[in-house]
Amino acid sequence: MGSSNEQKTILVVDDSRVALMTVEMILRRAGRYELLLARDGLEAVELATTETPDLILMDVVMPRMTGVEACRQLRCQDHTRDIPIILVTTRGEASSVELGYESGCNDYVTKPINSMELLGKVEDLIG
Amino acid sequence: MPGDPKDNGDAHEGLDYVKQVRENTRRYVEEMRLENERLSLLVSSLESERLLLENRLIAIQSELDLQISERAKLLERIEEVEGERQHWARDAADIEEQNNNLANLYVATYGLHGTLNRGEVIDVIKEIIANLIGSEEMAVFELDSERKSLELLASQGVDPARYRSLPEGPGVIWQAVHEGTCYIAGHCDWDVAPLDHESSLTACIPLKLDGRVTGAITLFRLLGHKHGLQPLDFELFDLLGSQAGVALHCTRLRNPAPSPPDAVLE
Repeated sequence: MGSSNEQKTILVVDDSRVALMTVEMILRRAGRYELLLARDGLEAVELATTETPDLILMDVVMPRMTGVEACRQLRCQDHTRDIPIILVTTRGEASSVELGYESGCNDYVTKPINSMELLGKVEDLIG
Repeated sequence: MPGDPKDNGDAHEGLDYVKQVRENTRRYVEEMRLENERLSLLVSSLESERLLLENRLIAIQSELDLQISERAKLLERIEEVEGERQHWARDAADIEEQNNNLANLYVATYGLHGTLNRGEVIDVIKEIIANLIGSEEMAVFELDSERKSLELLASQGVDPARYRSLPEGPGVIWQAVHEGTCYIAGHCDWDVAPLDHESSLTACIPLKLDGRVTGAITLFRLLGHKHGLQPLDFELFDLLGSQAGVALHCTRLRNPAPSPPDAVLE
């Protein structure tokens, strides 16, 4: 993982182009993050394994592998186990939130995304 | 008798006594004089010290008054600066919100016009509604002028069979289409009651092309955690109304063959 003086790398995962672009614009405006993009949970696990990002922002409902499944898989792997994960999703019900935390995520953000809330949670986890 | 030795003895004694008394008195007076001198010096010294202390007290009091005055000014200034800080913080938050809203509008516009594939444009419409507005119950219609009906192009979260074709008639959806004006539940004082299939309608957005209505987007229930529409949502409704119709029309330019009416995209 990058040092505190270098730019942090964030892996953003969403099957929606609109959602991906929205999160990308929020993070790029902050000016201190490098971004990796993935379109589903499977691609996210592959990229996280090879690139070891500092943080993963991941949608829940995605084809091939959901965000919850990807989160569980990442927590089972030695070198991705400690990567902080924020689930970003339209699923705001208590049961969905609980499922997300049970899968091992560190935090949860609902859509539509509030940019200040997202940036605050990212900074809390990786600075 | 004079010259009597006994009388001379008494006189000598008396004289000695007087001398003694005089000496004692002289000594006493001298002591008193010295004591007075000493006390005078002491008084003088104490007086000087008192004056000194008095002056010091005046100086300290003056300094204290100055410090109290300075403190009051500083507290006043702190309050002013805190007020300014809060004002700038509110301005910064407003600007950040405006920037965020502009970014979302840009993303929506870019998404709508970033493809000429009809299916992808419809996907973008659904993604805008789900990710930027906050609803997963929607339907996209195309206006069939000949049959005077709204034909379902795509839907999500609602029964497509219920909305497959909406013939011209009463209700808020057709009112919006006729007027070319967006219907937003709770924000319209139309004299039209929603029909059964419109009971959970949040908004109906007529799609326009060159001022003509070519279709409509209907949003039903908002996501559970979204508490009401925000100012950005209204701007996104305007954007969808003006741009989604154009984007859908452009997909026909690329592929002039009309989509089969049954090819409803879920």
